[in-house]
Amino acid sequence: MEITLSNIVYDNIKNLNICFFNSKVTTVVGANGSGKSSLLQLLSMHKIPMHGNIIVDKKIVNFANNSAYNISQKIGIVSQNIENYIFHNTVEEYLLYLLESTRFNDKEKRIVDSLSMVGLPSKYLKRKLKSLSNGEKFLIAFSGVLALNSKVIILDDPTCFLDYKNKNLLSKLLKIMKSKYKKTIIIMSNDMDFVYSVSDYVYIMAKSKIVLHGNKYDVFKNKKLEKYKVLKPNIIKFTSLVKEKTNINLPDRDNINDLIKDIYFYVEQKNRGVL
Amino acid sequence: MKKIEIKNLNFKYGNTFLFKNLNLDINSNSYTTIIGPVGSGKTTLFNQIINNSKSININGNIKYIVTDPNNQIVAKTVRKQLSFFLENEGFTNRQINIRTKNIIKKFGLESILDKDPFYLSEGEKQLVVICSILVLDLDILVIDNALCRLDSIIKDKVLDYLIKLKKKKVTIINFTSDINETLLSDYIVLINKKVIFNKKAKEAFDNEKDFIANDLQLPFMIELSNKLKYYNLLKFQEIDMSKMVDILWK
Repeated sequence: MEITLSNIVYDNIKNLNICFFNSKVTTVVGANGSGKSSLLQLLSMHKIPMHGNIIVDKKIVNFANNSAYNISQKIGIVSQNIENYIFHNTVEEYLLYLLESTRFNDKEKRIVDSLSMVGLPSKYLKRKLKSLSNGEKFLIAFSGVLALNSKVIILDDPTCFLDYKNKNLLSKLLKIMKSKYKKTIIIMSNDMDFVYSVSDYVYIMAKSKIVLHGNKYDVFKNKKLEKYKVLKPNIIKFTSLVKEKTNINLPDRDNINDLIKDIYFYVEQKNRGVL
Repeated sequence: MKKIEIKNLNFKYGNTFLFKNLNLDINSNSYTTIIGPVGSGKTTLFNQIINNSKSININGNIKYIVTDPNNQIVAKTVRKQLSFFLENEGFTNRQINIRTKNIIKKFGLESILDKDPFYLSEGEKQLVVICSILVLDLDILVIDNALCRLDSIIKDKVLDYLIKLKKKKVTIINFTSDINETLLSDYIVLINKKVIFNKKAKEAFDNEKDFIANDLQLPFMIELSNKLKYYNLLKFQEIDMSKMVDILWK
């Protein structure tokens, strides 16, 4: 599913143009108060923009009939709103409730399978929600979106409560979701190292506007980033410093091990007097 | 002096023990970061400390910040939220004015002062709640993953502020999932249903085995340092990126 917001006016947002493609991870980054929350409200399809259009798969969403509602059913939002859970006693009750209005006839199997995808054994079904940690609650909510098979997956600050193992699991799952299942994945996050590791396309928001966008390398190497109160991911911060201090262009790398190989190569060259 | 002593703390969820005879001491005037994987008991331990459970001896006065800012928002405007706890503690209007003015300036809250905190974004809510606690006279400050929704620049500002507080004799305990928050603290405690270690930060990073065995990673600069040391590109751990580049290409 492809979602485009075109010339949107809503809340503090004056003129927003942004596009989310299927089979891509698109991330929206911005300082606190930059307008990400308003954008999230719009993407939930529960709020009507004052001006402009939301376009889903080339069709303008009509808020006057139930088309917005039908689209909202295909969008799975995973956020940290813990209070939403208190109406359900166990994990199983919560997940079955999510699937209540769907036509799946294998609901039990779906929730067990999706739990195992997020690394939780089926014994979690009987766990009481209030006994779960914040990290576990997030994983349960994410498994719910997987069970629903939502076409669009929106993650709001997904790494807040996750450890290293679960962050890795999440990025692997997102890669499978986008390439194998053609999902549209949208992330709102300030965890720059995570954003850098998973994103295909990045939008930077500041003062309720999109101020920069492009592939992650171009966006995070952009000199204006600082002005928009966004810090660079550590790897880019390092390669930018090297460029600034030595004029050496280290290649674009996604992980620390590749970066170390580059450092090794370039420092060796310097020591042998090649550079 | 021990500011907090936890002796033989037991805690059960249903019939399963989360903590069995957990022991932990926090020195006064120290800054401790407590880390642990998902489900390791960070929030439970935090709750036991702030509720002064009977296995915990606290020598001082505790103020705390919880994860979900909605639980600590008590006023209808940001301005009122910032002065609410000060008023409760009987500060004079003059003192309240000075303290709130300083914190507003420090964290750039000017543009949201008249807004209802309830309608702010989660990150802004977190910042407002943090500020409404930071204006108080602090002795022990305990934080449960309350910086996670802040943008990276504000987060660094808050962490800097915590270091300043520590220099003013405040004891700080920060429970977090963000490993990079450990970098500037004095002590790191790794818990996973028990205390795995309680070490000075510098010593904690020397051995990555405990981190890996408990599903955690090292902070970026520590991991980079350690790996560069392994390849003989670096002699010492260096957490300042700019200095590291200078050493590598000197």
